[in-house]
Amino acid sequence: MSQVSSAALIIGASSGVGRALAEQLAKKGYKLLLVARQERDLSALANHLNQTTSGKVSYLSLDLSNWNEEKSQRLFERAENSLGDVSRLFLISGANSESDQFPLSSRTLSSLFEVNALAPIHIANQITTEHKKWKLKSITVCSSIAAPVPRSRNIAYATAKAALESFVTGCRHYLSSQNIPFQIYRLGYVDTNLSFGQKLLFPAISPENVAQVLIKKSDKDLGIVYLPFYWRFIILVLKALPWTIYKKLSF
Amino acid sequence: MSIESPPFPSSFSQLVSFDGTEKAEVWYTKPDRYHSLFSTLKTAEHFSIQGAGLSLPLASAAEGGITVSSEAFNRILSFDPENLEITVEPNLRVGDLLKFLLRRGYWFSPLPGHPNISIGGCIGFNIHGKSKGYFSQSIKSFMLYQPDHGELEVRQDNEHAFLFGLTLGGAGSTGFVTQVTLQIQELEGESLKKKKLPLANLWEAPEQLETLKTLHAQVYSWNDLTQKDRLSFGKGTLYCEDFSSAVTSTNSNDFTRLTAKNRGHVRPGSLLAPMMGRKINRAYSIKESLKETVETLDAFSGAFPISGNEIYFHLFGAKGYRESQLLIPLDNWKAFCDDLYLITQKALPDITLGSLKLFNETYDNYLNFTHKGVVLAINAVANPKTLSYFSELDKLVIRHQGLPNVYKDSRLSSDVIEQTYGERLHRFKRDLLQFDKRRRVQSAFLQRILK
Repeated sequence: MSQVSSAALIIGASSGVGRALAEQLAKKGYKLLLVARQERDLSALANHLNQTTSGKVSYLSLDLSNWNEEKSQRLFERAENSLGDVSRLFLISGANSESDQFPLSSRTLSSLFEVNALAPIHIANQITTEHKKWKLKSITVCSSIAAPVPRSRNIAYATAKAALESFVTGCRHYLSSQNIPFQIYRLGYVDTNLSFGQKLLFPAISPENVAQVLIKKSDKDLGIVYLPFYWRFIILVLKALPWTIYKKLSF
Repeated sequence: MSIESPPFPSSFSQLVSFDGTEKAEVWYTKPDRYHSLFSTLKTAEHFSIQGAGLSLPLASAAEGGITVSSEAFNRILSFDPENLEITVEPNLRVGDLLKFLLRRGYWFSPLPGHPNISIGGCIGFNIHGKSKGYFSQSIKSFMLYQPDHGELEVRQDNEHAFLFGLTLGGAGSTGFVTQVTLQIQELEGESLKKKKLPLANLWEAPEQLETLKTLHAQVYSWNDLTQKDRLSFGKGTLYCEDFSSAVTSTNSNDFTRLTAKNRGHVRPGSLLAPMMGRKINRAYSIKESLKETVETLDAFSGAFPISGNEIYFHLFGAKGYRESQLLIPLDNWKAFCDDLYLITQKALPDITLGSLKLFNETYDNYLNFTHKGVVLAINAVANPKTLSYFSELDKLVIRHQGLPNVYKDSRLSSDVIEQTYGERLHRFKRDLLQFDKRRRVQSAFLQRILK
């Protein structure tokens, strides 16, 4: 990652991949704005990183649900004041729910769509539109292997991530002449609180390893990337299956 | 204890005590944010708390129960050099704390034996250092979360002061410590000067330790308890440590992330441990004799002599080892040594380590291993011979009006604790029950000692 661009906005920074990313970027001396819902976790992380690294870390407690003009204004005012530029945008946030399965309530559907798609799309939209003002150097998004192969469980989550992927791909297209790299990571199993204790078909990757890859590759315009890489082949096979077989799968 | 899957992310796992002698299958959960921590603790009817999981007895698990890991809560929240204070989360490891402080010219004491021990563990067992002070003496305040009471600020001068004594040395029984403010000190020197003196036998040790303690910052000894000749039983080396301004060539402040699980992994030499009691003592004796009489170590290495020598723990393999720590009043020391010599020669246990230090402070707090006297620590291979030898040690400590360290010995019965701690045990049970009527925190350790 280029040393010139040293300010990053991380959406979804309080735990898992977001926290690991904040820790690694702060060690590299980045100016960071950490955004998540829970203030106590953010403040603990920001204080720790300010004490133990050369990074300059600030935070903003913001709930991504019910995204509106006021929230958007708070976020970008804060980004302007504490970062100046947003040279690196990391959209890491993700939420799922036990009730994300049929019969699906409107409430669950709305809230998962807002947090996983609408709010990140609004943020990506503003940063893309104002890329010159923010001196944008890269956008990195964490999606999921659920996005390309939807199933009856986690359907709202998968749909939201697919929508986010579509929008960010559109942003990539819009900025293609500006040489701004985009990466959309379709993450497989990650060893976070969400997957902890689940019987998984493949080993989970640690948030620290994911963060390492995200940082290392953030200067490359990769588009959609599978992490770990072998998910590309698994998804390829799943997508190639005829519906008569796919509908019988339980995964 | 419930064995049904709890309604939060968890994995059914086997946890093992650091000494390898106790195991339990539990629902293990690792909340990574405060709100998930609090909702987990509220939801669980009973739970255990795990820090580094390095306690010798199984204090972080109860069979079929829920163990809540504090792993994610390992941050430095504030550092105030002007007031010599630092506020940290409970899973910060003492080695990481010391690294942070040393870089800025500060120090913290007392420190436990290994740098991977968590601050929460030091609180739970109110650890003592090599020879001076208890952890409680360096705590200014802490926040304690107990699901029935919420999050409480505990200081020695506020309405929750009673929780200070109950939590320090309470083995996690009062709830989850969410943050703690520690008193730090300015660093007196970049390095530690370690001076070695010969010690003839166990009987003479306290007098020498007492004289040296007035001259040095820390004094302790290594003793060979496998010697058969009475005149040399417990012979060894006295160590005197002081800060020094000398510059050292090493600066080894990184450390092994030792865990109870990886301690028991079979490694080269693991299977030899049962026959190595005497040989380990000989090897250590030769190693020490080859070193200079005065060594200068960087402050980190000096603080944690076992760091880098973890092979010692691995040698015991999966079967593990047992530790007994006894605090004997000075007046009874010689008679105790006479008896100890006799039972040791009779049992010929596989002792791998003997060590002494003096305690000068009286702080009779519940089950804390605190009083005036001589502290003798013994490590031995976990086998039936050691079990019967340690039972004899129980009789000796009762006879000589001493105290066993309940935090070190995983086979210590509630009977022996009753006979040695008496009223202190009753007060602990009564006050704990008064605070936590539902006894929400459970562990194999608490179940054994509060039986």
